[in-house]
Amino acid sequence: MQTIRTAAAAVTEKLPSHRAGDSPDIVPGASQPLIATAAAGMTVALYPACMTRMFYPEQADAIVTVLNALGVSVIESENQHCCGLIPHNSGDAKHARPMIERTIEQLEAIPADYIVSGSASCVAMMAQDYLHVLRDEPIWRARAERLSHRIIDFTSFLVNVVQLPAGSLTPLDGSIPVMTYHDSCQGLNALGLKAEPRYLLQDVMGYEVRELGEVLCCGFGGSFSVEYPLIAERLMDRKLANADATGAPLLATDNQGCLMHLRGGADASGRSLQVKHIAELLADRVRERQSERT
Amino acid sequence: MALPATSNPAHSRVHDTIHPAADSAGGDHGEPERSFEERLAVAVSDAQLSRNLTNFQTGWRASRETAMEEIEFQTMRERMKAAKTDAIDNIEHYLDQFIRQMERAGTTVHLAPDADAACAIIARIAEEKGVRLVAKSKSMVSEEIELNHRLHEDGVEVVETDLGEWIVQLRGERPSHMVMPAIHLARQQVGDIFTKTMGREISREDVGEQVHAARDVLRDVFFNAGMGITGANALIAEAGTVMMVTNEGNGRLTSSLPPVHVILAGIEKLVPTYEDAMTQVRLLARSATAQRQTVYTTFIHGPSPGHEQHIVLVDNGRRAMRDRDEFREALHCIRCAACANVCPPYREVGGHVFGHIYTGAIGLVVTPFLHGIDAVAGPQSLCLSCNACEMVCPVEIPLPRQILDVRKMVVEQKGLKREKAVAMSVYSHPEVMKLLLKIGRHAQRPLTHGGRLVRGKHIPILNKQTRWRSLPAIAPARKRQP
Amino acid sequence: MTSSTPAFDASVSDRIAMFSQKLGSVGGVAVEVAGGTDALAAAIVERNPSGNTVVWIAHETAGRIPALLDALKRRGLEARIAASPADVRDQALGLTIARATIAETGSSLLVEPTVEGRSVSMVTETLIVLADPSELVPSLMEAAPILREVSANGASYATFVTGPSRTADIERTLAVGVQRPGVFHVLFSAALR
Repeated sequence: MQTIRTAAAAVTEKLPSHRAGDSPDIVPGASQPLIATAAAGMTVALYPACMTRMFYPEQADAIVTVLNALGVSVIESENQHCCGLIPHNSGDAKHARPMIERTIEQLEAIPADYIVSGSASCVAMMAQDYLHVLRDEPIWRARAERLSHRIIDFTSFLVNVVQLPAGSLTPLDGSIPVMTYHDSCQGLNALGLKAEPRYLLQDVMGYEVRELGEVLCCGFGGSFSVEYPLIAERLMDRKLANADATGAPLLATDNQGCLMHLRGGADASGRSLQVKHIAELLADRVRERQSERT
Repeated sequence: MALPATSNPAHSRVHDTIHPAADSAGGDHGEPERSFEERLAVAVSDAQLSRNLTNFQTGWRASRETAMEEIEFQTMRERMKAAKTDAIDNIEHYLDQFIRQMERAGTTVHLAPDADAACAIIARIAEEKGVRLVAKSKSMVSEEIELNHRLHEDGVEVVETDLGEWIVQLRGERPSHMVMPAIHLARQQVGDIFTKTMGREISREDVGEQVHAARDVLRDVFFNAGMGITGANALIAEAGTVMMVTNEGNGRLTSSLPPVHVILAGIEKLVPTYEDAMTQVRLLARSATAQRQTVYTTFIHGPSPGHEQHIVLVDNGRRAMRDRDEFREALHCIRCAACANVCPPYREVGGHVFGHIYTGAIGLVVTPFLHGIDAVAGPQSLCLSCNACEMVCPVEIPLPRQILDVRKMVVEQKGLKREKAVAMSVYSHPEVMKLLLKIGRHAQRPLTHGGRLVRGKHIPILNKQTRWRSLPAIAPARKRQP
Repeated sequence: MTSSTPAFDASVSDRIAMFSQKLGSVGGVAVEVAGGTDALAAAIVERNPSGNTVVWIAHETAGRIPALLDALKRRGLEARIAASPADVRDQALGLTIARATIAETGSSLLVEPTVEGRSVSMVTETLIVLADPSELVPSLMEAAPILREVSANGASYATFVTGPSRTADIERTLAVGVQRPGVFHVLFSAALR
């Protein structure tokens, strides 16, 4: 392991990309925002989840696109790794702890009022679980508490901070596309999000949102789907069957784990159901309006 | 082992035919416990189980919503949580108060530090009173301490009088759910075991007939038993009163007809006042079975004239749980099983897998303290942290977080599975991950054909993971541009 | 508290209406019987299973309703005091008096210190509960002080009873009267005051 690590470091050292964590990029917000909101001129930090970086970087890009268009500048620090959720959820405190500390250190250093993430589960981890893990250590706990006030999921940021007005991102052709929405467990239960995504989808973007027939976990559960594929499959099948029953061609969600699971399931079962992150839908509408402007 | 003396043929039939079924999930009849992996394999292969439990869960959720509309759930649960917090934080004070009041009413109070002690106390009372037949109403603590097994060894026959409990007892199984012990069974299975037990054809389809037949057998048990053992839903400290709820009325019969009455309760069942007990009543049936109220809510304070009453108050790891800040709130549980009723993995594998005696999310939390780390190691791995349990818990127990704390305990004491340990180790080295991703981007091409998905249905090694859902391809390295 | 819990000064007939609705939803029946002792006796006889001539009561009940028992006797229903549970086992009709009733849940509070008295409500096929409307409280919270009073002087045994015995343990299929009683009536009457 040590040899591989040294070799890896040696290789990455020579790559012509960014170096260890000290110079974050800032992507500036549009000087003339697409939609006038209170958020114009703000600077926020982006926290893309590790899975987003590995598999769905376009979802992080989508968040940046939307925020920039609203006049919000976005800072991203390089070398963000994992918020620690993955080892934490496996009961592996030994590996979770360094990730937790490193994440706190990195995010503390970013001078932004908000740290925005498109991953409900990372937000829950950082804003809630950190406080429990660090409960017996006053200094670390205080740092985690300060950080928790700045961490926010993308949906809540758009609804409560930016306060995107209703009707501001409806389709230009006046259509009312049909979709359904999967409330991720972390989004719904840990973050209490129910009205907020529906406001964005229905009121801001003009979708007809058909509700899934029941509240149910998609079955991803992180390593659960790898350890117990039969059970994860059954829950996923149930979720996709519920989606079928709505007749919607599109399903959106706010957590990349759920997305990965359901998109993969739709594909393997030959379904034409599109599975998207809510940020992707927003970015599509933003781009549509931006090209219409030019 | 001597047969209990009785002239009642129905009673003899019950005794003769209580024996563990071949596919027993183990437990209180001395059968060796099957391993977690074995139980899981059986459950996963039983598609009917998953269908039954899914129907149960979806029906329950809808009914519960209606039942909760009548009360302000959030206000009620905060109130209940406050009452239980007071009770558990000040447990010695309330225990003392409760004991004094009960003794004043004429009940003999016994304190049992652990399961063996509790069994020994009850066995001794049975022996002293020459008890050969015991009627029992629902008590999770009796399951916990494996009381029936102990009494059976002493030649005392115990008959469960709660219909669902009796059915699983006849089948030699543990209950699979704290409130609906036979939820995993179909009516055909009930008809089968009744036919075998009663020595005559009992309908496989007509539940009414099955219930009627059960009533006839159990009625004799109430009248013939030398001892009745009941559980407790709450111990009301201010008055030394035991609160017990049932729908069938078997709790009243069990606590009234036999000359000796034994109450079995965990010390965490304490609530300070009658008002607290009323809050619990408001929440319990609604959370458990989505009813407004159970048919019978009984308040027992001392023995009935001419009868003898004992109470056995059990610790068995509860004070140890109380000593751990992160686990203390689990003692607030009012045993409603709402956490099992919303749990996605529970619906797929059932209570014989998702827990050990105590099932559902709360089962995963209390089991290491009551039954040891080995009993919980397998079941806890089934929790996927969806947090549904926490949303419905009438006492706001932070179950998901506590389950992760149990998982941490399991990993500390037993280590991670080897593959997982390696994966975590690799994953925690960002430089190694970067390199692996870089390599992976190239290596995956034969599988992704340049696309964004890994489809591996036809590749044996990947098939277990990819047959049912395609995996995401590793994305090209991100170039950050607006 | 909530919209389903009547305010303390809600009229008695409103509370009775709520009580009846709640009890009705779980398979019991409650009515208010207007008039005096005679009317109450008639209502009891109406609910007596056909062919049955004996109504079983607890010892403590007998002393409270002598006029009613006479009226029942005149109508061919003889009251007998349960001296032991075996007396009452599988008998057709039991009669008891509620200490209080609760509108929120449709529950009757039965205070039954002796086993033989308790048998009347535990092992008879049909149970009739008599209730004084002035003891009909709005909610469980008002019942708490009553429970406290009941257990204040030595041993006691009290039960909220809400409908006939039932179970849904087999495939969640409802079966009423799994134990006894299978039929449950509450009669509110000012004659009980």
